[in-house]
Amino acid sequence: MTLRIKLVVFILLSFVFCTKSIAAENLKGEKSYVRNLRTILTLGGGTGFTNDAGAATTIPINDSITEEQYTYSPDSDNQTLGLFNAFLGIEFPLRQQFAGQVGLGYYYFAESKVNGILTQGADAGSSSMFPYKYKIRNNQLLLDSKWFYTCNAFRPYFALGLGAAFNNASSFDVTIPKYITFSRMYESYDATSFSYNVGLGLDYNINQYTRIGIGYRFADLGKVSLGDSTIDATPVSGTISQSHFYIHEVLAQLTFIISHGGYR
Amino acid sequence: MEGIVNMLKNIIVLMFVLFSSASFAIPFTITPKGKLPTEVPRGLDETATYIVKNNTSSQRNNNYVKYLPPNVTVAPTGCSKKFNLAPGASCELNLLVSGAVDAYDPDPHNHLFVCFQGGISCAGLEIKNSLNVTVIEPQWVFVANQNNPTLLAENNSISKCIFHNNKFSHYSSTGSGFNMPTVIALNNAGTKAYITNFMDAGISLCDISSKDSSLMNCSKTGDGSLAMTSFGVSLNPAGDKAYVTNMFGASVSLCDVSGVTGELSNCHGTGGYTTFSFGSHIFLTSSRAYISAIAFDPYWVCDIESDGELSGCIERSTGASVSASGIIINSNETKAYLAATDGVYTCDIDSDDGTLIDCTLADATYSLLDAIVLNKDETYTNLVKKSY
Repeated sequence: MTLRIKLVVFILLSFVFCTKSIAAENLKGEKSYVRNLRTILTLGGGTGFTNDAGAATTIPINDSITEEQYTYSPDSDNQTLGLFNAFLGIEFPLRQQFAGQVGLGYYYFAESKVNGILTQGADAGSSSMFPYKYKIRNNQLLLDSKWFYTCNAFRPYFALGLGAAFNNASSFDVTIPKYITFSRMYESYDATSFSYNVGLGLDYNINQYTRIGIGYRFADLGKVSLGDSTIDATPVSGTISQSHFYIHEVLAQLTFIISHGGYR
Repeated sequence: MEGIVNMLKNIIVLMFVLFSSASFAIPFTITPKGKLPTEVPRGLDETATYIVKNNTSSQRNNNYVKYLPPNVTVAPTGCSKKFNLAPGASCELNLLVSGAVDAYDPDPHNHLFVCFQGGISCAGLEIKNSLNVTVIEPQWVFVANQNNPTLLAENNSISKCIFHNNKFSHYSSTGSGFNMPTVIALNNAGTKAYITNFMDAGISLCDISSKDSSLMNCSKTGDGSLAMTSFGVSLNPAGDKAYVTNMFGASVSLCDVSGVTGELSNCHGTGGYTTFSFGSHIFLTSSRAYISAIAFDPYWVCDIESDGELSGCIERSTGASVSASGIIINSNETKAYLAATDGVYTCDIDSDDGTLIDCTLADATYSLLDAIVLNKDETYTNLVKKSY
């Protein structure tokens, strides 16, 4: 069982146990309290897991007299990459033990690497294979939210974020023995596209002002694309592109309650 | 598991790309035909030939050579600069190399690339097949083509060629006005050439171009004492005396050499009353003159007097039935090399009287030899073969 599945199971179980515990407390007639609007700052870090860096791309022959076909086949190796998260928002009460957080969330991902094999040639008889590589760096800016169920000091939550990802693909290189042929080279490119994440997590109140938590997110970072292409400095059409870049994230977060809005 | 498989796949492809000696299946396969030149004499061209093969399964028209190394041009023969190729067909790409070429030049535009029409689908060369050429200073050799002018086109002329790596190349005819030229001697500065003319009494005196060692301004020199059938000519180390053998005159002439113009003057017989029957080549050491008789065993050893006159000439025999024409002696005067009818002989030299002793056939690869020359460091002999 992978780490992220274990984490999701743990969080789901915490919901179940917490629900039973609250029910017991309510039977005792103890009052729960929910604070009104509070300003929240969350800082987090973790690890992203993906095997989605790069996508198979074929740039077909448009002009059979002059062109060759380029087929890029990335490997599907799992990669882990560090990530940093910051959130600034407000927390507000909902009915009974439920509360929500809404704000601006920023996610920074360490560089992921694309490695693969290029098959280049005018036809089967004139094709050769060469390794290629490039780098991807992602940033995500979301309208982020957490939806809590409060259970004593524990706060299991469901997370949803919608916004944009800023994806940079760069440093394309293809390993061809010197001077035997030319190949496509690609410029770096910054793609901005719709992005989202969904996830589950569990926060724990360390004290009145501080929480610690862990969480899992599944995110679509959207389109990743290299830039314009040239062969021996001659511009040519077509580039390597993928419409979605999916990533699984495991986060550890520290939440600070900056201001309290009062009591109900 | 999948990751390991992918990693192994990448490693295999990378190893293939980096270390494979096999040719790549790119638009064209370009392979050398024969040995590529590695040196080019300054001011001259060398030819490099490649076979260009169309690897695709379709007709490819208007292919062209997009890039060439510096100092390399496409010769009009063979593929030429623009060409068509049927599927799997090939042509010869002839390149003229006129200067240095660096196979490891980091700029790909300084390497050979042949492209489809449009110039974006190209093939080049693996480094092991790339031109890597250095420029050398040419060492020119002059060869006298003595035979009758009616027999061969190059007869009755002087050929100029380059000697390098024990090979002759870049032949061309040079000079003019010769009449069965026989032997060539150069002055110490390498600025003048003296050429005997078997059918003329006079010696041809030519200037040697400092640019390309061509013979220029050839004119006859020497006065009337030089008989027809002059054969051999040598200059003394000081360069102020010239010795000319007159084959059918059975004599040796001694001439003064002008230090200014190089002209020969005051030519007269020397060697006392010695009859140099069929005397052909003459070779001078520090104190002696050796005169060979063409295709006969006898040779003569003479002392050289302080005024340049030959004296005490004695006819000797090799004792080995050597029919020698050319003779040359190494710089420390211990070994003689004879160009003979059946090959090259080596002899020791008796330091007391200059007699050639213990002559043995050292190399019978060539026969009917006319002349022999040692290179400067005396590691190699050049032979001139008589042709009939």
